[in-house]
Amino acid sequence: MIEVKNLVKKYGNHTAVDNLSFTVKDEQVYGFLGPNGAGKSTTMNIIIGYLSATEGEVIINGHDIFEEPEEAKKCIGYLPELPPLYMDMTVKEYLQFVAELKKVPKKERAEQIEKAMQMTNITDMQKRLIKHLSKGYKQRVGLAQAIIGFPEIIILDEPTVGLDPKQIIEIRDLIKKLSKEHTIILSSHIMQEISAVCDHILIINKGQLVAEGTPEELAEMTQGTQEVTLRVKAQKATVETILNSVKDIHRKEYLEPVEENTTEVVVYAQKQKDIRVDLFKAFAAQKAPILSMSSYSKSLEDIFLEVTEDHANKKYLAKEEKQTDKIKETEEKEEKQEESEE
Amino acid sequence: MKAIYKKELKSYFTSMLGYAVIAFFLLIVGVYFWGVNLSGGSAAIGDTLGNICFVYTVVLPILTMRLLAEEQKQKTDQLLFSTPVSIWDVVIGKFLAVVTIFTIPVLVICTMPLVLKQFGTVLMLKSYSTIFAFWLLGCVMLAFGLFISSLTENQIIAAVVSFAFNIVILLMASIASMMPATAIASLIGFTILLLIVAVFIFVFVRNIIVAGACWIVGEGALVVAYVLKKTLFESALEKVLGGISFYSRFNDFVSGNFNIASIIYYITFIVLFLFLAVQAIQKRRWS
Repeated sequence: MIEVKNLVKKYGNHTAVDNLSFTVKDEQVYGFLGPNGAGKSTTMNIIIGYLSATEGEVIINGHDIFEEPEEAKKCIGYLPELPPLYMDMTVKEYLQFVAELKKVPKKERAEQIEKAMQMTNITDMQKRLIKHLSKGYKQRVGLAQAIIGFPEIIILDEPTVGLDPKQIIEIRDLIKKLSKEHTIILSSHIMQEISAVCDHILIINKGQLVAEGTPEELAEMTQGTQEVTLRVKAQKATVETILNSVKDIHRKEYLEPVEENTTEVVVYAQKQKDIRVDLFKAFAAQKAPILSMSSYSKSLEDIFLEVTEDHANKKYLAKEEKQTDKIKETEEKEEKQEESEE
Repeated sequence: MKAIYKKELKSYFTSMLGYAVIAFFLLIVGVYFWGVNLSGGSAAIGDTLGNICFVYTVVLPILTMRLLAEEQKQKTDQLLFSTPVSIWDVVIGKFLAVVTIFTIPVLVICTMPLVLKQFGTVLMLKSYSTIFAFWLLGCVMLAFGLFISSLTENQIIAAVVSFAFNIVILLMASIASMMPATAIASLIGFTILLLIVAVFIFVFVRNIIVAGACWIVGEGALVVAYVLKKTLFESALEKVLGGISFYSRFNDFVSGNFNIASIIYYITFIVLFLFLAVQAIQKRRWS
């Protein structure tokens, strides 16, 4: 369990982390989401004791990271943004070094290294020099390093950056596997990734916590929007006039047509009412055949964009008492925003 | 600490740096040993060692430059400081590793008095105490290089700064002896030294007020002392610089004087530089 209380980190006049408080419960996957420069890495570096904080405290399994760093650090495995690798070591040498640093008992070392290499699928590479590995493999060696010692908490800073889709899936599977026995904190600015693996999401912006909750909670809190992708056998102009006649559409976005003589369009609307019925009726009335229609609720992305935009002061915090008021406020804001867009 | 020590030691030999430095060092020692002791007919190994101190200025910065700078550049310090090892463990582990590398050629030097013994009488105790002091002097330089390496993430800067410092230390005593011995000259000399210290403090704490205050207090004390007791300042600069110079203390050993105070002096500086290295790393966590 990690408790972060009123954490502040200042670099001169710049505040990187601004009064951040949250709690990470055991055996869950936490997603740490935020745009670039939001303070994700700084927060993580403070939690693992690499940086110190200007104010506030971090308590890891009852040990204060600033007071008893060695005890606290024993509970954590960390993969920084850039995997901390020594290029002139072989994979196995490196992992042995890490195991020694983490004070893994001598008897268990070989076994743990073997297990970590198997989990990250680098057993074949163990005799290679790290500098000769590709980026994907380097990332995996970094991950193996974080796993060694099998600490209760594993913190991963953007673990899938620079990997190809297959490797991303492998890493996600690994995270899911690890999450059965470990608490995992994962940072990313890719929302699909967070929604794919995380039980709990923390969104930060400009060093402040702006949204917190399970994906479902967050979706409920914002009410979300619905997104319907249509393929219509008609000209763009016709589609445009038909869509203009349908109420409640916030926004539409034309895509490159996939089939000949069709129009591909994405329609965004509020979630309260299923827009698909209206769309069907409208197109049917104009005798424009809908070839396909698929709906996708994209609420997490919307939340992210909302809370991280410039001058945004919306927050979706599960503990907040005046939640309903906030939602109303948000809705009003959204409407205003759309008006200005139009 | 043990893990860091082993890793560091190994990296000297995987990168060839260890072999190259040891070979270069031994080459210089060998040439001087041949020239001074064997060919020149001197029985004191100290004559060779006294002549080759200059090698330290070049060789030791090369050994220490990457120790901490490289970790910062490659961001591997994030690994070290996210695992349960303390900063002291890291610094001492690295220091011991570099000392081990440096000790290898010194061990070779230890065989030289035995060689000389074949040709006549050699004062063994004097020879080995000189070698010991020579080794300890090297350790001070290594500790300093380690400290400089903790200040920057650029190896080259670390090497150049240590090199410059080593040159100053090497020449300090002889520069001091060239200074005019008048009281006012000493006062000016001290003022300049104080200014250098103040600049150092400023670079370290980045606070103009603290650095300025240190300088004003020091300068005030100097002027007061100058006004009250002018005789104190006569040829004082030479005495002080000669006194703090690592090399003039080493020359004591060469002339056969095993000075405990000097040994303590060297050890104090080793501890001081290691302490400063730890502080420099700590400081980075805070800024």
